[in-house]
Amino acid sequence: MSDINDKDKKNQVDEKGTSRREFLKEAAGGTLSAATLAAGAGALLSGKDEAEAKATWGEWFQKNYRLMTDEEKKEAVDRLEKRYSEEYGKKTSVDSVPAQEGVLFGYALNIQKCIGCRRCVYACVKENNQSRHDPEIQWIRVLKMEKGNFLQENMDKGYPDPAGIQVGGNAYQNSGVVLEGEHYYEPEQVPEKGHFYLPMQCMQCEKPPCVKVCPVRTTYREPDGVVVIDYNWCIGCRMCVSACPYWARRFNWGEPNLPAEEMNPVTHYLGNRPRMKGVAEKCTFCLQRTRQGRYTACVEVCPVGARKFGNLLDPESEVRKILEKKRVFRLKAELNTYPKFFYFMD
Amino acid sequence: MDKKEKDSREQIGIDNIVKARSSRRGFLKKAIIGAVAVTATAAVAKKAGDVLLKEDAQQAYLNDVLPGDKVLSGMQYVEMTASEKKTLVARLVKNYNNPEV
Repeated sequence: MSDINDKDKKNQVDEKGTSRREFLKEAAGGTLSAATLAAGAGALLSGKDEAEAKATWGEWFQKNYRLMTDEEKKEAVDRLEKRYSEEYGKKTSVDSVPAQEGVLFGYALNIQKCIGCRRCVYACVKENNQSRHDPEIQWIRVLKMEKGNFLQENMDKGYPDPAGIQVGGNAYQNSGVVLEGEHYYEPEQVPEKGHFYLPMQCMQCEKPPCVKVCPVRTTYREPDGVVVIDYNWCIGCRMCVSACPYWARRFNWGEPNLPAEEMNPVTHYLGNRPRMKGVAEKCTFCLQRTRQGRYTACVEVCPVGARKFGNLLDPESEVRKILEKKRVFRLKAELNTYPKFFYFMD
Repeated sequence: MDKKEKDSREQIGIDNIVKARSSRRGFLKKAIIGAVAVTATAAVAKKAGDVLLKEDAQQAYLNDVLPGDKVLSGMQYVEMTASEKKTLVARLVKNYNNPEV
């Protein structure tokens, strides 16, 4: 009798396909699977890579900026404007103004005047939407150097080696000695006694080694002499970072941290628009400003007027006048990179 | 329960499993399990990668930048002579807009 009952139960199950227990088991399994799938997909698409995830397909598959037609450039710019405006909660413009005809930008810095206040560094960070923390990216570095020892009795003996700038007279020793670990120096007062300061940034070389090594041609020299990067095309190989003899390129090792309230909404496609993880970046002579006829942020903020900027093709420009009249120094002249960033003394 | 009956029940169980495997439902089940497994593995791998890289972002940046301080401070600053300056300016003007250069 009991055997018959068992068989009946089994038949019932077979007829229905599933028992209540099996149904619940499968439902629980299904829910769990769906939850895992959703969580996994969420982890892949959200979190700190939100900005990347928001990038549209169009952005992923767009051409190299240089090869785009005007229409494609407009599409790319519109796409970015929409995305940045949503992401940072403010109306963001992405400029695509090309280089002006008859302009070749040049920069000159008076090392006698620089007091090492680093206002230029912070103005640059603010203007160019650099990552504020983890990592804290700065395009300008100001080297704090010890002045050479000045010895009156050696005044007329000449220079023993081609050591470069002899600050404070005939120093008879290399005057530039960086104090290790003082890249982010924060003294109570500047200038500090016995020191001088040497700000450095991208030299916008006429023959840039970084451009030569780029395997995807994402970095190139614009007609106005500024070396730019199409961030969307950069593959993050870091060849340019290694190739730059002036250590001017920075690499986004992590997703940049740019607080929405600090984001500068006036951007240029090839300049200060927010970057993403895994791409190189550097000074662009504030393209978003200079192509509109304004000075760079660092020139504007310098309290002692040590920074000069202008058109090298214009004989009346400040930079040309400096090249004509002042004592001008070049870095690594032997590499023939022809930097358009000059140091000078009165 | 005699041996014959036990064998018969086992056979039914095996048949059910084979049926389930070859049925459309079985196929879908396998596909879902596969998708879940792949997604979960990818998510775990990505999270692990993110955590590892995040820890190093600032340090990696400093490793890139700080050695430059020493190298740059050791560079030679060459004063340009008047003729060098003249030649440079002439060269810049001449080569402007010349794609051959």
